[in-house]
Amino acid sequence: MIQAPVIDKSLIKYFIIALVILLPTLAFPISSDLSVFMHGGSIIANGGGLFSDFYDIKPPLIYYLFAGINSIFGDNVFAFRIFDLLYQMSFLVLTAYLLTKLEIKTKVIKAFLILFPLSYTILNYRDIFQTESLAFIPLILYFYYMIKNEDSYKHHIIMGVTLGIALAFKYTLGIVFVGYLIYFFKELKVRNYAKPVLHITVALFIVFLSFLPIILRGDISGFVETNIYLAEYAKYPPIGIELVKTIINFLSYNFGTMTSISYLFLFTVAIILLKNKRLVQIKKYLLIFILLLFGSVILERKINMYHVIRIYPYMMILVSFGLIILIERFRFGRNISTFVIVSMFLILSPLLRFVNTYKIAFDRVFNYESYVSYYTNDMPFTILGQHIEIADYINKKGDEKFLFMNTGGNQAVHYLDFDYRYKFPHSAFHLSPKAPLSYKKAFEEDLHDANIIAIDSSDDIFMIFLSEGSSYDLFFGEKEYNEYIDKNFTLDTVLMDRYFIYERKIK
Amino acid sequence: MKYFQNKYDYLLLTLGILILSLTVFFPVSSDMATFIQGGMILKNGGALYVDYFDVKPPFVYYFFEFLYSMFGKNITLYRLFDFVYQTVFLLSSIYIFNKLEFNKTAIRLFSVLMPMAYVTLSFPSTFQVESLLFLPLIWYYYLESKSQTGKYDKLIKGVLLGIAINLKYTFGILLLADILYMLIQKKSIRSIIIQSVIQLIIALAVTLLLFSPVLLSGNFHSFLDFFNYMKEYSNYPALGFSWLQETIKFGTSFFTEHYSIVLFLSALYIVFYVGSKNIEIENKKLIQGLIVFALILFVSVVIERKMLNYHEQRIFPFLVMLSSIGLSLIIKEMKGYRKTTIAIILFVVILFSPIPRLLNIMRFPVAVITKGGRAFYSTLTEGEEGQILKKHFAVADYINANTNTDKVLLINTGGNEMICYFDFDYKYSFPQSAFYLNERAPEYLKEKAFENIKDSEVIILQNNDQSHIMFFNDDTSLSSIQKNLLIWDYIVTNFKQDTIIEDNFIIYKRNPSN
Repeated sequence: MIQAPVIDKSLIKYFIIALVILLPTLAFPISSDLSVFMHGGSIIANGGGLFSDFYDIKPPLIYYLFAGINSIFGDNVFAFRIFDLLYQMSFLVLTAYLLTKLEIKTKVIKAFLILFPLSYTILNYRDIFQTESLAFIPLILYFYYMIKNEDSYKHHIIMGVTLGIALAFKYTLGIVFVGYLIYFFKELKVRNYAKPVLHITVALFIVFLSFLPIILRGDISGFVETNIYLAEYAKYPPIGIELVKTIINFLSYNFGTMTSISYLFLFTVAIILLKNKRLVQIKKYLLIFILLLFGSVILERKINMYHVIRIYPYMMILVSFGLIILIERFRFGRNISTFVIVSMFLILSPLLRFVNTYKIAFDRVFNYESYVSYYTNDMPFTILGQHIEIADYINKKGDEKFLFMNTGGNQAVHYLDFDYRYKFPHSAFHLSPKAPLSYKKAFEEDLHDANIIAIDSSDDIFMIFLSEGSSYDLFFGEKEYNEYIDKNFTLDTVLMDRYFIYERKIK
Repeated sequence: MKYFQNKYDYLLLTLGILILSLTVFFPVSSDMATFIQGGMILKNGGALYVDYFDVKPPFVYYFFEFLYSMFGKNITLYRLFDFVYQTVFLLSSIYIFNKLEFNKTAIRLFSVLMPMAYVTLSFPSTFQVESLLFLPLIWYYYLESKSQTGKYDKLIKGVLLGIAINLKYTFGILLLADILYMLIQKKSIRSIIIQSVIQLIIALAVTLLLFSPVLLSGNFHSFLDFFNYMKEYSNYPALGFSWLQETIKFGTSFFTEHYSIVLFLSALYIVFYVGSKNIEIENKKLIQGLIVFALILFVSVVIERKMLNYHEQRIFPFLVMLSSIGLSLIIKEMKGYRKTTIAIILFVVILFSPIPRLLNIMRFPVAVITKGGRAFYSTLTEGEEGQILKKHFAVADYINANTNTDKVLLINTGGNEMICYFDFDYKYSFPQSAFYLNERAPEYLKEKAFENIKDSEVIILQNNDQSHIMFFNDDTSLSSIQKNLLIWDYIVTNFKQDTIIEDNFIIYKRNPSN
């Protein structure tokens, strides 16, 4: 009797190591994107509707997921970070199981259980817990069921579900279906077209399900308008030489420093030297999936590291193969090659960054001031201290009708003593000259309801506003708003030379 | 064995030389202007460390005195010289690697990749002492690598080491690389000691010879004074955790963003390959020699504590050859791949190779020919100081049109390119105002600077040349000079502000009564 493969018991201690490696992520503060997701989740958990009480450009699934977490733990960043840690651990356990089922050597899996969490943790607070990282589980399952090639309807339904979830997190992740089509036409001797049709139908149905709450609430028009705005947003940056230069510079920098030279080296070693007949096909399709997902990053034109990590589930498997090949083939000794290779792993790897993340975690617990100052610097989005200061100021006022107008990160709203209630995580969505009229109206409802307003005067991000100017510039650039503020509000104070705080005049 | 055996050898070399020829269209860089200024002052009868002060060894300025006597201020001729020099280096390398029987594909790749790596450094980082090192470096390596030792090898190695030291003192570390290389070759300790001592003695003799103009003019004590002062600069930035972080950051950036991920990974691949079990590789010791030289030269950059691209290029002759060998092995491994697979891999490889940067550099000849040199160079930036060349052109044009004296003094730090565009020869002593304006400057330099000011009729003073590395604080030339009450008082009393050019260069003219 053939027994189903079980996970090697020796892997258990590697799961513990992986957990220890991922642990510092719990200390990371709220990032600008996480803040937006939490904001959306909070509004929905409190009974609000997507595209009627909250507006953002991501597909709905992420907000419902965050609403679910919010309804259990509230608007608590630590709880969200725990969720992410558990999610990544689940991904690691699942991947270890799937790789075992694919009869991949335990030592490769062990390497994966160290290399993957290292690469994830060192991304720091902004590039983890994104839609891309939430798609890791569906992406690895999709690949597994494809390469397993049992070609049953059951498997295609599972593939459809996983593809659908990936799509519902981010539409462009659907590009992996092209990978499946390549497999379908290249590898399958008997092609049953009904199966891929079934699996894409299931995928689309899952995407449809993620929209169901919006459809049922009658908010689909809000979604359509969001997509019109998104189309404008997607045009930026324009295609041209400058974009190519930016992409190359950015990718070279991020692959070199964040992914690291040593990982890229192991990846190269795996590509060149992994020649085991049984594994060559896995290698080939891992590479195809990586290339397709890499292509999707370039197509999106928004080259942030968190966009790039969509390739990690596949890439890190090859990196793990590379490490085992290196250990097996390299003669470590007192020689110049060993010196270079070991130096590379010590200096040009995620190790030093990882040590730094533990320092962050240490500071989070024992030296909070240093922690806040680490996350408060000249970089445009690293302004944790400012967010805390705004929230502290507003909390002292004790009025929950607080409207925060800024773009690029509204983390302040999660440090408030109450649930933030207003609709826009980015003021650009209603202040941009290209904002839909319905957005402006939705904002005006908030404006008329609010008693305290904070307006950011240094958040001029062309990529989101699609025009020059900060929230402050664009808000007061509109005569109607200018007059409304003049008539109904007084300037209370200016915090940190950039946040203008207005208070409603007592009637 | 002859290297040139078929048309591809000629074609690839031609391609390499064509790539190198792009440097002819580069403008003057800030460092090049400094060298030219030194050469100009020496040519006009000035003495080093009396009439001109800079950090490099004397040989560099005597060499530029020679170039200045031939090229004057014609930048294209200097660039042409660099092109010829790099071509000679490339041909020497091909000859040497072929003579040492390196893999043919690797040599072919080198003949294109080396020019590519050099040219993509762009104009600020080419024609530096580091790039002048390439030629002595490769011959030095050859003399230790060749199987049959010649009668004069030790002597020539000593001379080459001496030249290297006189291009930059820290290049003396080559001797350490050579010792390690000899250890790899399993030479006896006795022979290593004898060879090293002979080399060192000859190198010191060469140094003595190249210092002879300074010695004979009786200015050696001035050299020593200035050399001691320059140690202040070599102590900056301070060693510590931040320095380590910056070193790793800039080192990684150089290897991945500048040199390119693909070439760097190829170099690492051959290091791995050489150290692999059960693999017999031709020329193993020679490759280990390349690794040792690249590594030790990189260590010298770290020791200098200035992780700048032009500093790091000193490892290119060895690093590029390592990349070439690595790449040739990878290509060999990929034989048999399908065309579509190769096409896809090639796309990604090109993206992360120096090719996109090379394409960007190719705009130089096109723009120079279509727009004209000045117009195009005015759009270029060096460092973070904005469109600095444009500003230098504007100041030079103003001075040429509005003054009729050669007593024009430039007080700035970080780039004195404009002196190459004055209608007259620049005559004053400092390429960097920080040398006499920073708080650690010795009195005699301040006095010399004051002499320059007293002699001048026109002063150009920059107000945005902050450079912590040079001033040791956040001052500019303007703010620093304003703190020096004696000098500033003299300027205020005897000069009148004429105009400000490009918001950053304040022009003062001496009052007519003075």
